Amino acid sequence: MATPKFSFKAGRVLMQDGTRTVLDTAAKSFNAVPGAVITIDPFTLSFPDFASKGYRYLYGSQRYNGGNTRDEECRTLGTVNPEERTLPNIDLGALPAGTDFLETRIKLTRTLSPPKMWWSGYPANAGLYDWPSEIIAGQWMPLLGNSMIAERGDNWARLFEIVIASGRAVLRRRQTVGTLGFTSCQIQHQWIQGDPDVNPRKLREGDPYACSNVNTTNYASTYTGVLEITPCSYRSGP
Amino acid sequence: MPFIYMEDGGKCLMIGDEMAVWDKPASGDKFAPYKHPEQHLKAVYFHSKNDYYAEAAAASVAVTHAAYPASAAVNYDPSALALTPVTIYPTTYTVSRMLLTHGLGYVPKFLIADENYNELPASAPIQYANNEEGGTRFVRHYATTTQIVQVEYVVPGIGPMASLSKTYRVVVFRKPQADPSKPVFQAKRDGNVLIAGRGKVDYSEKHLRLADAGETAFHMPTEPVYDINNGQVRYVRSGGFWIESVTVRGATVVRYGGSLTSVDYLSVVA
Repeated sequence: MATPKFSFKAGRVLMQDGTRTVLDTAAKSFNAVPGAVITIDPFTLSFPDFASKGYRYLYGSQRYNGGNTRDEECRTLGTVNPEERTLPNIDLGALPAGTDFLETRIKLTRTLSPPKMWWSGYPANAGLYDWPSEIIAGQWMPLLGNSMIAERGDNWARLFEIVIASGRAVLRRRQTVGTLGFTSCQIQHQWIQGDPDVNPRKLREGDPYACSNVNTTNYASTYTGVLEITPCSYRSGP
Repeated sequence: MPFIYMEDGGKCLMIGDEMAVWDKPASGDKFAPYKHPEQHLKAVYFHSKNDYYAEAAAASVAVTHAAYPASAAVNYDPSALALTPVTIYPTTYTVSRMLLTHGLGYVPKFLIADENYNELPASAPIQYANNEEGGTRFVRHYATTTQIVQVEYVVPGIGPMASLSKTYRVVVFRKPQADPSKPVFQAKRDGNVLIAGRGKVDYSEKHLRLADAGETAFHMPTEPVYDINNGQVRYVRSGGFWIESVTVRGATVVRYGGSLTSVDYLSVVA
């Protein structure tokens, strides 16, 4: 067994286990302040609906039988338009003076979710897969770096951070949708096959039987659970 | 209550009701950090009222992440007419694996890093199949009362994803708890006991601290490692190395347009 050593000389306190450092004032330990731990239960992490939604209108037709019969098909896809949004900061509580590191962990479950990706209004379909989440439901995850991508997909993402600001712990959130936006669902899909009444057309955008172009998807997302922040100090001196 | 007080080179050591090591204040009550450590955090190196991250278990775990084929195209909600086809790539894969069994009986705190000692943030991207083919492999980690678990999530994209060998370094910390039956400080010359803070620091354990020069150290970020912009995510590791997502729409490539290029990291050992 290695021999422990304790010394205090030349302004340095050193505790060693053999040659391994246990405590050394030249290489500070992480001092966590148990009396200042911030536990928020229930903690709510929410992202609002995207600011601007739209649609993409798809139309196709073909004539046959000497031009006396027409097929028509329309489809509207629900889209989200580009945005860069910084959401209001949320104050999480005071930190002891000198706090320079937050050791944070979360246990969250999504309690409000956008509908599944590629859900369809008509014909009705619940969707192909759950709206993405990078948070493992109901499990304690460490928040290394104090930032996490809560949700991301092709050309969009939602971020949250827990940072020190003016002596307080603060939750920051942002969401982004890139240039060209993204598509998440089908609003309506319909077709007319073998229509002998070829004029006028019926399913182009603006026609009497055109597909709906209203994207009713609510993309708001909310997680609820527990947030635990342990204030630490690792840096000595003023 | 008997006590020991020593002062040398601007450092103070006191063993009384509590044990503390602190920088002597330039003015005022020199015992203030001993009395109220929470008000003098920068001055305090050790205080038995504070907690310390003591290693309870550690492991280096080799993982071979599987290869995956390109995502299969799905013809979404097809009609007999096929005049407005929509092709999507919905395939994803999720694999869970246990990295370490700790048996502590409570959910401990832990750190997780890759083979290069880069600590991994929650849901870290560890592989892109091809930056413009959309495939990404993520690892996410959580703790239970018995295990540290890794959840691998793969979006294969439109190109195949090769297998990947990684080593994950896990350190689990015990819940710091003072044991009233133990002394506030004890050092025996027989080499068997060196305890501070009623067991919060025990010589036989390792504690999270800043690394000395030359030590093999974990790279621990002290500020947010992610940034998002233009629909994309950039993750910045130590040394200013980053990886980021892109979106491809036909001939258009949508890229991150933010400015995060570096993040402050600490070198720490446990």
